[in-house]
Amino acid sequence: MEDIDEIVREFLVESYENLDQLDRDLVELEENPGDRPLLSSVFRTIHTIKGTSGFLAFSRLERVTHAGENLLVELRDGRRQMDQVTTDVLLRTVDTVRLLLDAIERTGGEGDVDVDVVVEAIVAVQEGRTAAAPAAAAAPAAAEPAAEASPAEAVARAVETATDVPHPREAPSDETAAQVAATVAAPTAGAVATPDKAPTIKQIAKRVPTTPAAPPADGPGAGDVTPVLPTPHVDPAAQRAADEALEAAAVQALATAALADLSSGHEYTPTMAPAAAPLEEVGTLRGASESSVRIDVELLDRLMRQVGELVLVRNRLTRLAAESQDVDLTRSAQQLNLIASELQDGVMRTRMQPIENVWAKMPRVVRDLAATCGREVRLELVGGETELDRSLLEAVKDPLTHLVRNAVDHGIEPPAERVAAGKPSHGTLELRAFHAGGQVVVEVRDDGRGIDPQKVAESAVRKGLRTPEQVASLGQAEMLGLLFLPGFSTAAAVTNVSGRGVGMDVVRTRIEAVGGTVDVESTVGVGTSWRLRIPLTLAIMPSLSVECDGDVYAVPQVHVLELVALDERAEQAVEHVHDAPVYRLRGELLPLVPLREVLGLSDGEPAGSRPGVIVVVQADDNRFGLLVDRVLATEEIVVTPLAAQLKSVSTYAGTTVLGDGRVALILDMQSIAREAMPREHEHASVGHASTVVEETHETEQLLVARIGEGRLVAMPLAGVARLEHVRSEEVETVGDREVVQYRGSILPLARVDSLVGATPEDRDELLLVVYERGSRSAALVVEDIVDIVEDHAEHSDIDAAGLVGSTVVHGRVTELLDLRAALLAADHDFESDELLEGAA
Amino acid sequence: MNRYVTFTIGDDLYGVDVLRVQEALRAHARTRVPLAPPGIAGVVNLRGQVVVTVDLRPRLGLPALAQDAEPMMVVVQVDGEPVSLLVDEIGDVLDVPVDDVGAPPETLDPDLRPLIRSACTLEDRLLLVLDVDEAASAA
Repeated sequence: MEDIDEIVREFLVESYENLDQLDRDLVELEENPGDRPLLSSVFRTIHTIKGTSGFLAFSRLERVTHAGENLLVELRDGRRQMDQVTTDVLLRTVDTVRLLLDAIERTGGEGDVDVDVVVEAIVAVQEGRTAAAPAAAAAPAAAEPAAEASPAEAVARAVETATDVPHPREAPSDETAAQVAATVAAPTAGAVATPDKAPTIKQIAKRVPTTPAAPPADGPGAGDVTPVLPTPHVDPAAQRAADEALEAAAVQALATAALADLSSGHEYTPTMAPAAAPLEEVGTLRGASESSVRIDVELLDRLMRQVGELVLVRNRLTRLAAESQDVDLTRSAQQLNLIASELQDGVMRTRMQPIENVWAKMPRVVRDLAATCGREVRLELVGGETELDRSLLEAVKDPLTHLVRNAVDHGIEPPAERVAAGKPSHGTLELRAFHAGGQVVVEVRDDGRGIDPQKVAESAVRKGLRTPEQVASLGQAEMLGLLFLPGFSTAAAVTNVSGRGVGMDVVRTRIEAVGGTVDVESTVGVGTSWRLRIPLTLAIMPSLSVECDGDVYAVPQVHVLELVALDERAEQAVEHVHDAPVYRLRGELLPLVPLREVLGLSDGEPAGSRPGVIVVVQADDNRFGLLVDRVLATEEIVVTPLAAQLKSVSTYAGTTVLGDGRVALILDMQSIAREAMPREHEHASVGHASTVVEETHETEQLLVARIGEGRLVAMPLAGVARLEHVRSEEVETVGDREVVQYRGSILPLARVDSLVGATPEDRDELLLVVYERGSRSAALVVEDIVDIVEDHAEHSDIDAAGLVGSTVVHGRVTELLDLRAALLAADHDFESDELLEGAA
Repeated sequence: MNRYVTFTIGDDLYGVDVLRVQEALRAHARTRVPLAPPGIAGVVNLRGQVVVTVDLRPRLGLPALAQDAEPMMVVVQVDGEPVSLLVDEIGDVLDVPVDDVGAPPETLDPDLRPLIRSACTLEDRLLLVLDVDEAASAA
């Protein structure tokens, strides 16, 4: 009994694979109806399933595949042209087969899957041929003028009139009749011919299966020896060839010979004919099974581990050999070294599969969807041979399908709209895969209408995902990034295809779960391009090893943007916005996350007080600087999953054994980003906004501070040198002014509270916003730094002491400080023309 | 007869079911895991495999081992994965007659009850039998 189950299981596995291939082949066949190898492949698959299902007594499966096979036989014999109706019904057959296989897998039986509908549909399509017969009848008549030119017209006419042309589409054209005469291949006829006459004979033989001598119903028999599919195009040269053929003296005899051959073939029953097919196909099948074997992934994993151990033993042996001075031992060790490396490489490669395996379904998906949505889509697949770890392949399957569906449904416009826009009526959807920088990049690119960032932003606001203020400070790329927010869907109308609100956020989550990234570029009217970056393998990834507090940690390289050394020579130092350390990187404020603090190893020293390196990383929407002691090396690490006891610690993504045998923890940058920066989006937008400032000079960054009575006051960030905390008792008075001693100089203060008429609160510690101009500094006293924002809103003028107006920050009215007056209040001689011009 | 691999932690003699023990060896250099639960003494490279090391001392009310201490480790199998238990000294493999295996004393700290499965009265001392899964969980 177990044996039977095993056979069924193998049958299922094999059939599923074949079905995926079938979907692809059928769609391709619809485009290239003359592709003979494709047709054979389709035929073979259906036939194999039929054969096995008969053997395993799955009668309904057998019935439906048998019906499908009959239809395919007609195609193969050239008695039927691949058209949309045929493709549809064949695809339906495939779907039914899939349903049956599902049922068998679940229950062991065929369940209640209804096959009658499909079988009837197939028969209906087959009978559609008789309905088209009147059109076919016109063919002989039309063919006659063409044949008249021929010297051997009698022969020609004899054959032509006898021809029951089964190609209704071609019938109206007299050229077609010639083409019928001109198409390929009749092995039997060829066999009786002398080599130089071979073309002639083939042409004659081509007509033969369509003569009454070989009635259409018996086509399979003839078809097996005369595998012909007429090409849809008419070839004048072929017509000439046909004429020449008819001139040949031996024509009559050869035609008769061919006829005789086929007549004997005619004695085969229709069911016998398909049975003949395996004879020719067995060879290829056996070839395939000999060149590949199925292996349990579990076994591969075990092999992989063992190879890992082998490598370590080899390392030890290499060391011993180096010490022993024994030449033979050294040589053997070197050989072992080489072999172990190759073995490791080979085992690694067994887990790799071409991305084609995932793409196999795409032509079908695109075809069906394009038909449903009324689009014309040409799918181009480039780089299908690009290999990637098996487990990753599984992980990207759904996201890719989603992107493809999305592109067809929302990206590519209806044909009319395209034509109106001056584009070809059929859209192009391109899937491209290639290796780049140790990753696999998969692009889904369409030439459709593109995505309008503004609309995305509006939509995000409408759905309450972002406030208008937040959105207003975003650049184009950031706006498109909103597409990835949970609960976002751009579809103007919800269709049954996509746009159910589960969308890009799921795509992103899935891709990031395997350590990949996804981004989008779009130009309105030109198209959209989604780019997935996926690590080659989950097991091995490039990483940056960093040191923190004496231990080594691995940072996945995919997140690393750049490294900035932080030492005495560095021009910039770490600054603090309130408690948060920041670093000014080319004009942008980069939030810093000290790894020491993330790991709870902080000794209380403020960040940046010791030399270190800022690893600039990008995780999710966040860009931040991970502050580490040292950067050691970049290396390829083999990732081992975290032990169960450590799963609760989200900071780590796994562990790895480094080259020197030490174990290092792999940092989960996404998790660290989330932990460290709860207000991620504001930070992200600040970072980007400042670049916008540089480009446009239209907006400026504001430092928002809280003062007494909970009021918010904004002041220009430009010109702020640093933020300082001082104890209130350190404040001394010089004349009527307050000052503090700072780094050996005197820093004059002005309290913003008193400048704008707020009641100050008593505090032990004062926060100073220090402005610098040339050699002079002045500080403004505030309670708290709230945020740094982009000033974009309209200012309203107000007439109040110390203020120049008000603006809206995050939906709250915020007063704009009259900086010039404030600084002059602190220091009468604060010459800050330039600064103040920019700021006021 | 129950057969136990025995070892000492502090002053006490402990044992685990011999069938669960993969090997006993000198402790490897550990990589500490910041933020991990207190019982986790780090991870070690055991012939290419990364193995979690559990220090039972905090749970048994003893001060945790110093990071650079070099005790022995008993590697046990939990769900097919090796877990290393840090111990002071490895003892013998002991066969204990079933009659000598008793319930742990009533006075045992309730927190330790899931950890200590039984107490065996040996001739000269008491052998506390650990629940391997519980010990390895480092809860």
